[in-house]
Amino acid sequence: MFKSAGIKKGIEEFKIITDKLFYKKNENHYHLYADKLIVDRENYGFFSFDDYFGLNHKDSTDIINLVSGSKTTIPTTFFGMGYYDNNFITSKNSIREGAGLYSSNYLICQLFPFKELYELPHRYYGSGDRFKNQYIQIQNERKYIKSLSLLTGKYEWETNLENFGEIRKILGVVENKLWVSLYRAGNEKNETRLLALDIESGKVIFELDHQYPISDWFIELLEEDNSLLSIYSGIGTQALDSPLVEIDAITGKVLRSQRIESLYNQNLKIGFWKVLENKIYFTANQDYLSGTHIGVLDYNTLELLWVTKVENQKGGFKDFQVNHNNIYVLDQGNQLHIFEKTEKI
Amino acid sequence: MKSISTFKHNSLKVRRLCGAGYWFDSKKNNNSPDPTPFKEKFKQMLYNSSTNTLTFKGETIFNTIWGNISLRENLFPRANYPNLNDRQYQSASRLDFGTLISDTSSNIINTFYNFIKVK
Repeated sequence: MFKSAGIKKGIEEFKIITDKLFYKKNENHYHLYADKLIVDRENYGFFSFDDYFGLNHKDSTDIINLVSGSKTTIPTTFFGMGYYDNNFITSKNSIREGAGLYSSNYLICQLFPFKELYELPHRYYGSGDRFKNQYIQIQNERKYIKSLSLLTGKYEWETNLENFGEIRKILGVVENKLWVSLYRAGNEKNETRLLALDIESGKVIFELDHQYPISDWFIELLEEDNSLLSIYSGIGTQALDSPLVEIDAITGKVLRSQRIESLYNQNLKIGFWKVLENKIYFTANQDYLSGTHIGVLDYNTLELLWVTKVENQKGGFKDFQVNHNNIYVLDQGNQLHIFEKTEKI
Repeated sequence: MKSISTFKHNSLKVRRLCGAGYWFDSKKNNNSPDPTPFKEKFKQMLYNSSTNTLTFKGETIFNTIWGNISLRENLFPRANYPNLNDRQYQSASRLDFGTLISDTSSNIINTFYNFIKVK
């Protein structure tokens, strides 16, 4: 069970980092708070990776070791993306070529101690997701997926996925499989595609059968379990399913595909969700388009363990996070609703 | 035109802008199925062409889109903005939002107004 532990107002954004709440207030400055303390007075962004916490400033980044508390300042922007094996990708001389289209030079930097290692030989568009020394990029109006070698600066492969739809999300790599979700418009818009590409060659090596009702967006790779989980519901005032599909990310085998029947009695339709310690925490809507409830399901049995209506909310929910003791939900009125665990559920 | 609040409300939940399809009555445009006049009206509400800035309503819509992470990622994919911190990314996306809504012609590059449909 959980109980309300209050509402924080004027919250622009928040993140849970090592179980601790960090939030930015919607004020005329850029103060970042942890609990009630200001931890940064001119914050341009905050993030975490491995055992570190990062604070962006205008042209520099503070990296704080969460174990020792030691702080290192590096003279470039880094926000946790593109990090692997003590080095990261940054870019310089970015030129805005058009709406949402930047070209830049890529630079590989060592993080500790900070050092510029080498620059890749060309100018490149956008950025990407890093897997070891491959940089996976979505390009050409989300039709192509490409792999750039960060060792040579050359593209190793590119694959046109236009026939499958518009590339929506890169979900991650498990063994040799690069998992990608795609969206299809028009008559086949309910046929979201889930593909696995061979990370070495870019060839499509697996396509999930279209009969499974998966989401292009509310699908995640659960790395501890090596599985992909999709839960989503439609938008509507009537009762709708929140179908759950779980897929083995190593083999592509569908582990379960079922309705969450425990939600039917209260006509709950799932929006955001998070998996933590064998539970699925979720937001849900009943009669309205926007979420009004939060709750907890047993991950294995899908039994509804707890649910409540969020009181005094303004607008729909725009972010949802959980840690071991709390549920946090941010509404469109910049109110952060906090719930704390009262007993084991 | 009351559509802005409806559009804003719908934008809270949709994951892609075409999911917020908004239908206009062709009788309001001499029974023409051409969506251009409706797009132009939307543009005038959202964008001040003389100053090349977002109007108050334009800012409101941008902030609504920004608050919907799925829609934000659909319109302004983080990976398209290399090496910008969160604040710079938001500023650049706001600039791009202005570019998107200042052009009502529907083409491959700009499909922003495709949620406007006429029947």
